[in-house]
Order: sequence, then structure tokens, then C-alpha cells
Amino acid sequence: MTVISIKRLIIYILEIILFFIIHDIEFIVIAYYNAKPIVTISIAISIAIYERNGINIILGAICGLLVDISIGNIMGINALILCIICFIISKIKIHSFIIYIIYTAFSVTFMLYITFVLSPYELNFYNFKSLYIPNIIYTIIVSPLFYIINKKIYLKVR
Amino acid sequence: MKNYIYKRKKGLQYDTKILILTVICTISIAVTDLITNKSIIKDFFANSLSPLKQIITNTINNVYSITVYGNEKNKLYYENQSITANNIDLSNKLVNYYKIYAENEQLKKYFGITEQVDDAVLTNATIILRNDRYNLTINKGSRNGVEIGDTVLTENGLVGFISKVSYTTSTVQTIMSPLTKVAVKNIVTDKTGVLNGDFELSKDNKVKLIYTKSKDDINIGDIITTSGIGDIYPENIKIGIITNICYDEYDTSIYAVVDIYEDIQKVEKVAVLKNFSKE
Repeated sequence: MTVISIKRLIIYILEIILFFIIHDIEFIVIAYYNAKPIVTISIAISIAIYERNGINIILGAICGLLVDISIGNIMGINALILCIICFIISKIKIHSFIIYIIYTAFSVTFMLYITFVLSPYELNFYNFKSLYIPNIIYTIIVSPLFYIINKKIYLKVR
Repeated sequence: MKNYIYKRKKGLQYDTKILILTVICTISIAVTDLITNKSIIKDFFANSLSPLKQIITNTINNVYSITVYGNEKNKLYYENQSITANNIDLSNKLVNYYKIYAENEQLKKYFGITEQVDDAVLTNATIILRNDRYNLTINKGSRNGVEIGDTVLTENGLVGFISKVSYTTSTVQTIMSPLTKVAVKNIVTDKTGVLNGDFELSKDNKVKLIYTKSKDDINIGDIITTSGIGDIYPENIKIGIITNICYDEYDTSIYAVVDIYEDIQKVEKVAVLKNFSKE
């Protein structure tokens, strides 16, 4: 029987809110590239790795909505993609730190590419590179932090 | 079992049910957003989280200033902050019935808005989200009378225009966006042109001035303002200064690089110019 404690759920939600708030403040954003980490994707994936009981799908959707609010053009698109990604990840049994980084890299690239396709900008690699590649790199760089945090939460909070 | 909110009964089936429900919800949100063009969820999140964001930003800035500045500088900094806070407190006490009217008149004067926009109203707004380099979300929406096409500016000059309006928030498309075109004039030579955002130049807070007829029309150091042509923006709102003159690599036409006065990537407070008559 798989269960999730309310305490852990609240901590996850607080973590999502906290990092969503700080992810685009001046202190975090690299101004020249306008690079900001899309942290909610990393958080959703690290939760999906540990939690396999459906709550990962809901938290994935919430994180996706926050991505939509932050950079999206149509509300709900990234939420839809991220909840499906979280569902698939929770079904794959092979999980490690390296796999998590690969999941994050794939997810953030895919979601930002979809955002770019839905944006009104001219579709070419140069524009994508200019707009989103800095965000992708920044997100991958900071993603280990969430792997560590959520692993601790999963193991310690019962 | 009070501590538990959820039990899995049939493994995969339960997961799949949740997934189907979540997918239906997200598709509904997307369809609603597309049909109504108003993001209720964005409004909710942006408004509920922006006060928290303000607190966290202030805390981080305070910690940063303590770390970076020495004790002496820190002391002076806090003394200055205290005096400024006292000043604000005193001036707040002086504000009365004429507060909104006076603020509006002062802002108009401050921003150098001409008689052309006498019927216009300036509303202060705070940036609550930076969607990407070219779009910002502000904390004012249709509730505050903001409409699509309203001009957004600061005391340093033009920022952009309102491209999307929700009930309590609005999206600003900045002049750095490659999709934005602004009719401008060179106040030194009195020649007109069009300002257009550029992916590469926007990294340095710069834009392109295109459609200039000859090289004599533009010189380094010339000041660029809105021309008022097209009635989208009021006339004479300052934008920036020409820092370079170049030839297009494809068709050898001339364009100028304009350094925007306002640092759009860092701007925190803006004003929305409402009711500007666009006739």
C-alpha cells in the first residue's frame, strides 16, 4: 500500500511556491542572457522520481501551470505535458541521479520548444537559442539541488 | 491514519484515473484561456504570490547589502533608509483628497507627456513576472481600467504597450520585442523612422531604428522619441539615444542602434497611460 503523508505534501507545495517566487527575481536572473532557471520543472521531475502514487501527476500539473504563468503563451499546455512526463517517469523503474538529469534536460528542452513553437516569434534555431537555450542550461545546472532536497524530504518526512 | 490523505487501491488504474482527470482539467484550462483570452489562473497565482515575492526580494536584498557593504557603509545605508522611510511617512500624512489628482498631474509632468494626452490617466503598476525578455506581467488589469494598446512607460522613457489584459493583471509587450514596431522621430534632425526589436541587440538593452531614408538623417548621439504617427503612442515620449550606425548585411540598407534609456530587463515599477485618445 502506497501512501503519502500530508506533512510531505505540504512541504512539496511550499517548496514549489518558494522556488517559483524566487526564480525570476533580479538576484537570480542572469540579465545579459535573460536566463532564469525554470525550477518548477526540476522540482516536478524530482518528485515524480520518488513519489509513485498519483500525487506526482497532480504536483506535475501544478508545476506545469506555474511554467505556463512564468513563460507560457497558452495556460495549461505545459501543465498537460509535465503531468504526462511525471506519469511516465513514475512508471519507469530505473532511477538514478544521472537519469534524473537526463529527464530534466529532456523535459525542459521539450517544454520550452513547445512554448517556442506556440510563441509568435519567427521559428528558427537562432531565435530559440537566443530566447530559451540560456534557460535550459541554467535549469540543468541548478537541478541537482532539487534532487538532493526532494530525496531528503522523501526519506526524512514520513 | 489521520496523517494520510491518499491510499492506492489498484496501482496503475488509480494512477491512470488521476492522469485522465488532470489531463481533462489542463485541457479545459487551455481551451478557456484560448476562448476567453483571460487567464484567471494566472491572475490568481500572480496576485496571491506577488506580496510574498516582494517580501522575499526585500529580504534577499537586505542580506545582500549586509554581506556586500562594510559596517560603515551599512550603517549609512540603514540611516539613509530610515530617513527615507520617515520622509515617506511624513509625506503620506500630507496626502489628502487631492492625492490621486495630484499624483496624476505630477506624473504627467514628470514623464513629459504633452498636451496631446491631457485626457489620459497614468496608473502606477509593479512588474510581478518576467515572462521572457520581451514580455512582462504587471499587477494592473481590466479592473483598473487597463486596455489592450495602452502605453507603458517610466520616468526614463517608453517601455512598451499592453498586449493582453486579464481582470487583475496585464501583459506588457516591450519595445525590445522583435514583434514590436514603434513610429519614432529623431528630435535632432526631425526625421522619422521605425523602431524594431532585435534578438541579438536586446541582450544589451538596445533596439534597431529602421526605415531611415539616408545616412544624413541619423547621427550618433541623436535622441529618439515617439513620433505620434499611427496614434498608438503619444508624441514625444523619450526612448533612447543612437549609439551606432550600421548597414544591413543582406540588403545594405542603413539602420541605427538605439540604446534604450530605461533598463527594461531590470525595471520594477512602470506607469500605464490610459485613455489616450487614439483617433
